[in-house]
Amino acid sequence: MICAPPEKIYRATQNRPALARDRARVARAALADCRLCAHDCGVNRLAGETGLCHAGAEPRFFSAQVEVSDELELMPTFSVALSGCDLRCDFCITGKESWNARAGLGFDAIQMAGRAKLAMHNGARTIMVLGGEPTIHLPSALEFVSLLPASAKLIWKTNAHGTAQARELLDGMFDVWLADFKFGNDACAQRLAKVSNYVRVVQENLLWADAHSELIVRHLLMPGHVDCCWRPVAEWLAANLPGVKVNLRAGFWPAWHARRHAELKNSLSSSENQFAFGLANELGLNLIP
Amino acid sequence: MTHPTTGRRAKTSAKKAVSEILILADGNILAHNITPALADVLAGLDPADEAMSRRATREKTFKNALPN
Repeated sequence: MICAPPEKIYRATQNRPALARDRARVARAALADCRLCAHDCGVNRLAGETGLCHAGAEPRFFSAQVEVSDELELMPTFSVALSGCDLRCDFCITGKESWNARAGLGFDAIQMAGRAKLAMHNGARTIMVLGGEPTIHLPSALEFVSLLPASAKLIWKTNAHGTAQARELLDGMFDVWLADFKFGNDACAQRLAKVSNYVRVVQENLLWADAHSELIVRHLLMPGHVDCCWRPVAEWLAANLPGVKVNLRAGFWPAWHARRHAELKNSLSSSENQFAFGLANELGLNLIP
Repeated sequence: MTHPTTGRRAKTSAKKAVSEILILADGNILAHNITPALADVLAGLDPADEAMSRRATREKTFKNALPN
C-alpha cells in the first residue's frame, strides 16, 4: 500500500480571540513608528504622519461580500477588502481603492464581525481579510480577528511584503496565508510596482508563512512576463517550497494604469498561457484551482 | 471600481456587492470578485466551463440572505 505523505495541518490557536485582542494593542502602538511593511517608513501614523502607503491610523474598506472567485477549497468566502496598499502595481485590478487609503467606508470591526458571523451562519466556509494590503492595517485586522469565533477559518490575503514585526504579530492568527509572488526579479517589481528588494522580502515572508500556517502562493501571469517573472518564481517555489499549493492565475486584465506599459495593454496570449502551465507541470508544482 | 478601458467610474458602494466582468474580443469572459449570484450567471453562459460550474455548485450551498 502506498501512503500519501501526511498533509501539514495548522490550526490557529484556540485562544485566538484573546491573543488577537492583545496583539491588536501592540500593533496599534507600533503605528507610532510604523515598520509593518518592508518600506520601513518609521512614520508616526498615530500623530497623522503617513508613509508610502498614505494610510492613517484608522482603516477604511471598499468591499465586504461573499465571493466564490478564490481558490475552490476556500470558497464561499466572506471577503473584507481594506483600502490602501504599500505597493503601487500599475496593473492593480482594484487600483482606485488600493492606491487610495481614504477610499470606501470607515471600518468598524464590531459591525464587520457581525456581518462575517452571519455569512458563516449562511454557509461561508472562510473569512478572508485582504486589501489593498491588510498588513498596513494590522491593528484593526487583529481587532476584527478578536471578535470572530476561534473555530472560524481565517485567510490572510497578502502581498507578502511585511516585516518580521508584522509576522510576529500575525503568528497563529490566520489559518491560511494566501500570498502573492508577483514578480520574479527586482527590476520588474521596481518598474511595475515601485518597490525595491521585492524578491528577497517576499521569499522571506513565504518561507515564514509556510512554517507557521498553511500557505497558498498566487501568481498572476502577466503578458510579456512569463519568462522574466513566472519562470524564476516557479523555479524558486519548486526548489524551496516543494509541494506548496500554487494558484497560477491566467486572467490578466489590463486594468488601472496597465496601459502605461506596452506589454500590459492586452490579456495573456494562449501561447504564454500554455507555456506557463507547461513549465509548472515540468517543475512538479502543486497547482490548485 | 473603474472600468478598465473607459476609465469611467461605476457607482459602487462598500455596502453593495460588486463584481466586474470583461468580455474580450475573442469572446472570452474575465471576471473578478465573483459573487454567488454572478457565478450562477457565468456557469449558465458556458455550461462546459467546469471550473465555473464548480463555483456555481458551491454557490448552491450558500443561502443568499446576506443583508449588505
